[in-house]
Amino acid sequence: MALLQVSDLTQRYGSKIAVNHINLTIETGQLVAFLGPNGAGKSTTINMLTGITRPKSGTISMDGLKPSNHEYRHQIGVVFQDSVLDRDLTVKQNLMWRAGMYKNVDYDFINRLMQAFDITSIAKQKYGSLSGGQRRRVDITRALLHKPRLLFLDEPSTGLDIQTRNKIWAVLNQLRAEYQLTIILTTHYLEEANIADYVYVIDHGEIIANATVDDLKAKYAKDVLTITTGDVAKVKALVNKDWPTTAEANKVKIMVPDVNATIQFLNAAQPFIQEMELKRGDMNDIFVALTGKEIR
Amino acid sequence: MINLIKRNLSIYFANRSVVFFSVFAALISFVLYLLFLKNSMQQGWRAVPGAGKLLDPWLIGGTLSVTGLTSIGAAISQMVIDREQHRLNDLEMTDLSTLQIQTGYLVGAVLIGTLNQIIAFLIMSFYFQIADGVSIAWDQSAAILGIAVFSSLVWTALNLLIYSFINRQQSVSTISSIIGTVSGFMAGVYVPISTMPSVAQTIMKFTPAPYVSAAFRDVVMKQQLHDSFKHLPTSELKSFRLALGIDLKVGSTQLTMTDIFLVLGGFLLIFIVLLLLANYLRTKEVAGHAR
Repeated sequence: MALLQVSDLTQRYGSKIAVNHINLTIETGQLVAFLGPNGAGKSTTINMLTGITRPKSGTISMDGLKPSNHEYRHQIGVVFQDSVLDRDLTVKQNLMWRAGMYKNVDYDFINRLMQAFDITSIAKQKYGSLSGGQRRRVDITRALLHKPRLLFLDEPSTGLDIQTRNKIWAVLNQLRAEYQLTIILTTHYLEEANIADYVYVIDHGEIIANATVDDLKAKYAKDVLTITTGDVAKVKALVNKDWPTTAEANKVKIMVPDVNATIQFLNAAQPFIQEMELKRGDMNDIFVALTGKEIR
Repeated sequence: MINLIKRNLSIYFANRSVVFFSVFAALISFVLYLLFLKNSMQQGWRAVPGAGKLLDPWLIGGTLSVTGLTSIGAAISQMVIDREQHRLNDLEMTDLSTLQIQTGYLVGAVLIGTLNQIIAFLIMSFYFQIADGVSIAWDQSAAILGIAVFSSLVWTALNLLIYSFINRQQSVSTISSIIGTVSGFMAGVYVPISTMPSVAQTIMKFTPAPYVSAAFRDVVMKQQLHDSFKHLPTSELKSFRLALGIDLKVGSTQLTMTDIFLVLGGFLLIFIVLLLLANYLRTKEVAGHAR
């Protein structure tokens, strides 16, 4: 079931079009990534979806509710790119006073969140004295206080270590399993887009591709096999004619279609192989294929 | 909304230097008076019996007017900071309405302004009691508190209006130092209003400052005025009150205390209308070309 339906969304600053007639369908329970370079229009889109700015044209609808509606806002949680909590207040003051600004808050749920994100032990510390990773965990807890159906994460992992990232995703995945939490995240980190169910690739304010990660990979990202050999000609002769191949000094680079064909080829070419490396196709390949540039 | 007020108050009081300097800034006029003005002022009014004891509460009245304005400015500037750092966006994500959020800032600022005025009143009163034996007007506590709250409302509305046009934290300190400097003169703290050029007097009367000073002075000087002038003709008292800005004249009309409160109420109303207008224009602008 579609939770969020967006059609023809457009935003413009003066004569510059920041977001150009985009359409989105977000299903309940999905983890959706907006992937794109800085300045692609990801945050502009998020700002419209969260009701912070009004679109120039187009419609946004969640079960018939518009972003300007209070009920809409009650159903969403937002983790902003820059922290919006108060440095001079403690973690607990920040969280509890924000919670008090919502109606019908489930304080048991908040306590569970604080335990899950490991912030019970730092609850009495001032927010300003926390490390980057601790702050981000508090930020996300704040966005989830009122148990929103849809969580927006704007560049959530920027500057975080791997442990914090894993911790955050472990909790978020648990919430997704528990109550079908839907998540929209913007990122320019490929590995983060990798865990998404569905990816919108955005560049210059337009959606240039949208599909599941697997479909995008199948379409745009090929595995590359690199063989170091003493006899480039012999290796090349064994390669299937349909596989794009390049040779350089004593290295042969082959775009291989699938695992079985690759193994067969490797068996045949084994006597000539000195070293080999298989690089799996990733989001970067997808991005380069789509935009013609490396992701920034 | 209670939670927002708690938050705003905690942030204000967490920053001790802000608290200190917003009281201190107001007390500067008090210090200046003691160092430079007290003697010459007393000389000037030596014909009046007990001039020294009369001028001490006179200074308190004007200083309280400035205290309200500057400390509330410091409290309201939090809103600019919150807007610039997108905290306001986060607050708007909650179930609070825009009106509730603005009321949250307003109530917090009125409380801060009132509290600072009370602190300033106590500091000055105790000093003058020890130094000059001026008795503290405890019997007027309720009236002083009333004026403090009401003037805080006026100052809050004015500050909300001024700061609704300011989006940058950098401009906040510029604006607050301008207000801090000008307010002392507008409130007639250092120099009696009657000794100023008539143009200056007219400009002053277009701000709430002299009216707030007058209201405070009327209350804190009540006892001493009675004592000093009981053997002098009423006309002497009348002209003294006008000269020192305890009473005010607009055109040729002398304002009663009720008139002064009506004028302040008028200022409050004008500020609120302008504020709502500014809000309206802002939302139109946001709808037009938002960030």
